[in-house]
Amino acid sequence: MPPHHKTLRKRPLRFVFQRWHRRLGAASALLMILAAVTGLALNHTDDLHLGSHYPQNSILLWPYQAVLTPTYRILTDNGELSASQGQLYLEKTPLVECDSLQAFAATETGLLVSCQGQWHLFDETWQLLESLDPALMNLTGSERLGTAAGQLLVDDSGTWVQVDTATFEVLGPVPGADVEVAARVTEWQNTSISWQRLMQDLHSGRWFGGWGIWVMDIAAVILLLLAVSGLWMWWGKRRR
Amino acid sequence: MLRFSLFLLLFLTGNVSAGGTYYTQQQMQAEVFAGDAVTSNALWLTPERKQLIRETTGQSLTQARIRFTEAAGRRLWVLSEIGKEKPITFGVVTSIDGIERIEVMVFREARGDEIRLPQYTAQYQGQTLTPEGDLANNVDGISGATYSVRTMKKVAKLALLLDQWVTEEHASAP
Repeated sequence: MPPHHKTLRKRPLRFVFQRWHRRLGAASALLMILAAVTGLALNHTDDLHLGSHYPQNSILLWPYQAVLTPTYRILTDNGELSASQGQLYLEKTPLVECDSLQAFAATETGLLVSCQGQWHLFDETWQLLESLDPALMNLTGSERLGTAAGQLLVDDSGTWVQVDTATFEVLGPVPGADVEVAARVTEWQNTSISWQRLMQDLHSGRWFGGWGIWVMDIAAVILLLLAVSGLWMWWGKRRR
Repeated sequence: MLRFSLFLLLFLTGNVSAGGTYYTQQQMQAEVFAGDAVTSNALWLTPERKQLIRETTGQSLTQARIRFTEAAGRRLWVLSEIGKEKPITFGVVTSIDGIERIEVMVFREARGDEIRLPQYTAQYQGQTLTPEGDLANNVDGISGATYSVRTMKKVAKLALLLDQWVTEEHASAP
């Protein structure tokens, strides 16, 4: 067979490889960039403090709506109460451990803060006097708190009941006409999904849902094909 | 042998589903004081007392006072302490002879509430504090409830320490 015939027969196959190498590269470019950027970030998790910082962008957090829990703020005479990362704050001052700020009531005997399963009683200078367990009063700790003439009232399934703040015993139901309830502002602040988790989910494709993993798998296979076709083309060129 | 017997006894009592409120404050008081005139008091925690609590039990208490009820020389302490992840609330009855009774009032952990069984809590009856701050008698553990056991021991020590201070305050009162 003449030499030029051999070249003619081989050239289309190389062209096919080159064409598909370009197409596959272009098709997977975005995913490759995503995987590379997130991979680089994950490699430097500690330096970038990804584990201790939390994104607040609603688009980035879109897949996590079901697991995000609301945080609450309550305005008191001394400033704003809030809870984040397991800590109760008055403005910026940490006060005590608190999973979730539920309610606040300024009673005659102290300032009572309900933290989902734990009540904390403070004096007027916000010194913690004691912590109480609402379960001991047959309460869940997620009830609304209110006051009427300085007395502590608890919203027990729609009925206001009075609680003795000296002994913390439930005294009985009272009319709910003049009950003052501290307003609670709800905020959807992310304190549970860290940048590290977000990067991991973007890197693996989980951020995109159940099919995202398969898309990233396909991208990984394409990357392998690109490597193989790239090597093949390079090797073919060298041989020529 | 004692440890094995205890384990066997706990095993034979069947599966115990963890979690729940076993006593409210009122129920506990009604059982403990049974009609006696109960007074409600608070023990104030000075920095020195907090330091001693830290040294004896390892707990760093931030609150300024601890509430207790007493009647006829017996005191009921309702104390909470984190088990593995969540707080466990105990009721400890103390008297001049040490711990009279200890009960789990609220248990929130996923497992380990075998510590509330009478076969286990009986080990705390008559316990006192040694000068070194340990429980006077040995308490056998329960496999699978290590954190809960540790927490109950801490709370028992704390109750004895608090009781000691109240007794001292009563003795020095005019």
